[in-house]
Amino acid sequence: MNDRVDEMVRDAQAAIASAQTLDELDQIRVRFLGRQGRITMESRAIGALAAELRPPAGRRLNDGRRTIRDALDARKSALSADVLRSKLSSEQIDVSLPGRGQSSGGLHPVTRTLERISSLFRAIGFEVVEGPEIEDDYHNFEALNIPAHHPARAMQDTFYFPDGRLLRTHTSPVQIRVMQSCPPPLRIIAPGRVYRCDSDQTHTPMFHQVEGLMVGEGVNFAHLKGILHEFLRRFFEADDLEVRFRPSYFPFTEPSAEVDIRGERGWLEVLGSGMVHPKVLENCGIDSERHTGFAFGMGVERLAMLRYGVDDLRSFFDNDLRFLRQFA
Amino acid sequence: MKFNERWIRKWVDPPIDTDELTERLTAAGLEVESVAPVAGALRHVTVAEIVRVTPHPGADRLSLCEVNGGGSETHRVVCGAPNVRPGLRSAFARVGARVADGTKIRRSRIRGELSQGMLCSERELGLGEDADGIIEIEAEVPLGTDLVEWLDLDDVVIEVGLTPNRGDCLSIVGIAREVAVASRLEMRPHESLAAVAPRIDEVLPVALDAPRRCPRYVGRIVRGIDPAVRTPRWMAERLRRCGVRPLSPVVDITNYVMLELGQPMHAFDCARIDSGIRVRNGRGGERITLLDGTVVELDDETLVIADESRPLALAGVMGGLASGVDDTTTDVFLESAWFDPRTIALEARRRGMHTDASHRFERTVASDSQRRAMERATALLVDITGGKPGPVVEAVDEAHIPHVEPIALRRERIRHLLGAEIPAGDVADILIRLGMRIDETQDGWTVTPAPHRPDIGMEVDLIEEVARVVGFANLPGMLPVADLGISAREERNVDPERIRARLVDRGYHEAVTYSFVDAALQARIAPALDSVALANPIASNMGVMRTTLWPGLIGAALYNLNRQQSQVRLFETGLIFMAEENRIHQPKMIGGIAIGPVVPEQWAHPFRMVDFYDVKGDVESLLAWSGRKVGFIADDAHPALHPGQTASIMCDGERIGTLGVLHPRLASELKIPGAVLFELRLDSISTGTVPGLETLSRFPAVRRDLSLLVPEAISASTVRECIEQAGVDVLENLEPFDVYVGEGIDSGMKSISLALTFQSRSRTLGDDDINAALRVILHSLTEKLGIALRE
Repeated sequence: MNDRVDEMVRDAQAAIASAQTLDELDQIRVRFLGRQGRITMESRAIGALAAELRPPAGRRLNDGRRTIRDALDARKSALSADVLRSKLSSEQIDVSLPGRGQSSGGLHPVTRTLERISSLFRAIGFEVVEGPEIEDDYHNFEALNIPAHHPARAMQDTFYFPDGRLLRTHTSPVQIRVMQSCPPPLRIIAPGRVYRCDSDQTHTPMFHQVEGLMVGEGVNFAHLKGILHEFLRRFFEADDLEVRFRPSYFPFTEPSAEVDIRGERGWLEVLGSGMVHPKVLENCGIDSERHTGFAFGMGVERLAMLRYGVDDLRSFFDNDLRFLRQFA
Repeated sequence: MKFNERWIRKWVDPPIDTDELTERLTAAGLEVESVAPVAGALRHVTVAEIVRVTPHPGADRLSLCEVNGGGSETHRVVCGAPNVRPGLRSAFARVGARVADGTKIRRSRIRGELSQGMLCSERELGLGEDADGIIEIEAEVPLGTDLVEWLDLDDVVIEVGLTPNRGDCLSIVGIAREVAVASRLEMRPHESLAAVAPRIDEVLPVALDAPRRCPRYVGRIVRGIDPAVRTPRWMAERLRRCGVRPLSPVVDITNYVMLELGQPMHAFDCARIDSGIRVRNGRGGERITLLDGTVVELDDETLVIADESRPLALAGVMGGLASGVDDTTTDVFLESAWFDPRTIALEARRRGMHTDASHRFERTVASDSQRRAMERATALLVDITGGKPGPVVEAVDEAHIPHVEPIALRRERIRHLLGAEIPAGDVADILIRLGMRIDETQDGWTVTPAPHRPDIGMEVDLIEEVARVVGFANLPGMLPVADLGISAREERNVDPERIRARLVDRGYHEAVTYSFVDAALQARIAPALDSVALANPIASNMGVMRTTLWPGLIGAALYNLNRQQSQVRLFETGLIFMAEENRIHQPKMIGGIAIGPVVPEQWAHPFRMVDFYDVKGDVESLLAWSGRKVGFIADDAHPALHPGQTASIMCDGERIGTLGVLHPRLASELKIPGAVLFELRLDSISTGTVPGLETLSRFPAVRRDLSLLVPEAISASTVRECIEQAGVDVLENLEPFDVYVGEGIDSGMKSISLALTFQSRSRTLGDDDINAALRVILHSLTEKLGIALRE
């Protein structure tokens, strides 16, 4: 009997080793360990043996069964791994192909610049406010100390409506609206569209400005210089940026300063600024002896041009996708 | 203001070069815009004499000239000028020299004859436009003199951009004063500003009939000038360098004095004035032909210089043709007046005539310079053209001469405003140098501004002057110290940055289009809205303010379609403008346009064009913030949109925007196929909600699907409302997952499949609960809408 068990184990091992599929392996299991299998049949024969021979024969048979089962298990996991491997290899994809879905768009460079300016000033407690674009003469000129006959009006070509209203020529009227409605201390910036009746290589009839205003007790010209210098260095991310303040004239500030930065080809004007004129403060009901303030205005397109290397102002308003995509 | 450096240096000559001089001007607030050499590239051009002239054998118009340049030998030059003659001294550019435009002179053969250089006209020397003949140089000028030296051509023209408050710098003396102050130097006392004694008695009486508009008028007769005299070259050169074209001695002298002292002057031909001068308002019906030939009709807005019978000149703007000087004039009447700036500004603007004179009067001429200018002009005139001056006549109305009020300047206020301590001695020194009179007081000074600085009227003006002269670069800069208050920030507010970012993430590029659009296009898109038209549009297709963002977006989309961009997705935020009775409503909008493939062409996506529902998804993503009940209602009446594919966007019963497909008719006219457009009021999505949590159910949810047969006219939202109102409180969610029309469905009907989710907060739902709920829902659908289950 021992010989038969040994033979069965050998047969089984040979069959298992040559099995190529999980199905074949299962048939082998049935052939040896199944209900009609050779090991099962052999175990039934043990009952016919003499009593003293039964235990060793049983042990022998159990060993054989275990050996076959182990061989089956081992082969099964080997075959399963093969199956998985071939499945995985059949599922291989080209990971270099582009992903699916919408490509993202982008902000207009003017907005991008506006948001950058706003975030820098917000970080030091300036509030963003907006105002109307169709303005009246009072807010755009009179209240800013630009009376009707003033030569400064000729500096700004104004778009008018038949009823005398106008498109704001600067964001400064927002200063007036804020100062008339809120008491100092004030720290605001006012971004937005402005309009001048002028169109050529370097002028578009519409462009963007950011107005800034800080009013309070003890606000002085040194603060104006300090803040604007700091802003320009942060905006251009250049600690060694050369900044020049140069006397100028705006009817609504006194002293007034233009601010230039040093570019590759010399000084470039980027900002207008000054201490809020006492008459403007008084027009807004603010005591100019007690409160002082500074105001500034910057051309957003100009800053965007310098920052991003745009050389044609008019390209901002073509909305060419090939242009816009570069700011995505 | 354009001026030449050499002229300034006659008044004040700081030991600095041109670069530093221009930097100093800019730092003082006179921004230098350009610096250009006077002589161009002119090199090695010298004074030479023509010794002999013979005709060119091969050309009638050319001559062969033998030229003596002062050296041992003569040069042979072929010349075409008509004025070549023996004995004439002119400018000779020898071989190797350069003329003003940089051309280098070479030996050449002209029609077969050797030419060893060139005789130059004004144009070749860069002195003017005259190229008709070679320049004629006075016989006293030594041969061989370099032209650059002789004409002071080693000079630059500096142009400064003057701000409107600095009318005082529209003159050489004004600029020189700034240079002197900036350099802490004194100006040189100037030649011949002294009075010129009269040599005849004759005067023209002057009457000021409009004394508010002209409170001072200084006049003088000069008889017997020589009309044949030419303007001396030194004067013509200075005028030219300052951008004024030399014309005739009398006119040149008035211009010269205007440039030098800033006082515009006028010269009349005495013989053409009838008795006295009257400065008065114009009268209706009067007209005058001006020097430039224009005829203007007068009215009482216009201030005129008249004689007893007719108007002679538009005061402060331009003289009249009939009374002007010409090359026969021998007796002149000189005018030097002070006109009200506002009168001149309005007149110049109204007539569209901007002259050197009006430019200065508008900016306020010094009220004390009239007599000085008259004496200066008289001296120059007598010197250059001869003639005998009469006495100066000055008509003045002191009450209307601008009065200079003293201003209190406080030391403390300077520190307060500038944030800098400026020594009192420096402040006083600066003010004195600027021509102010100062008296010390307990806390500062009392300052009387100089008559040439009418822009200074307040303490802060003086502080600016101090700051300017000290130099902004020398003033401190520091960051302010402020209270660290935290400003209010409402959580429910949605930042515009975030709204824009959402559309950007969904594939839209932001556009910025002009706020004024083509009236005709806008009328096609939004005919019902009253647009606001500009009185002075810059172009006819930019004539009205937009009442919707769509005209601009459509224009931008077209621009891109015309440049081979197939997928266009653009959005814009900005104001629109609508006339409403007496006011103009300016709400802020967000709008977009989508055209072409739904996603960029790609291997993994089936190709599909963008449709209503794609853009609706984008709009819904914006509306998701509002936290309010939002609905889309079919709108078949929008003139620009497809009647079957357009929705009004409603929020709490209010219309906040529109979404739809461009009307096919408009689409084919505009050549913009398949565009989907939306526009929303930004304020409707910029306020959201602050979340408040509802507790989650601990019990399982059950899903059941229903396929319904729905009459086509009934919308999905009607079905939804019907189910929601059926009173099944365990219905948690309802989502259509299929809509089908076609085989198996009767015409006029559609199949809508819904996924219903049931969940209770208090118990696990059993089949009985769900079936009961479904029965209620189906009953309600059948009863109210005639909807049955699809078999």
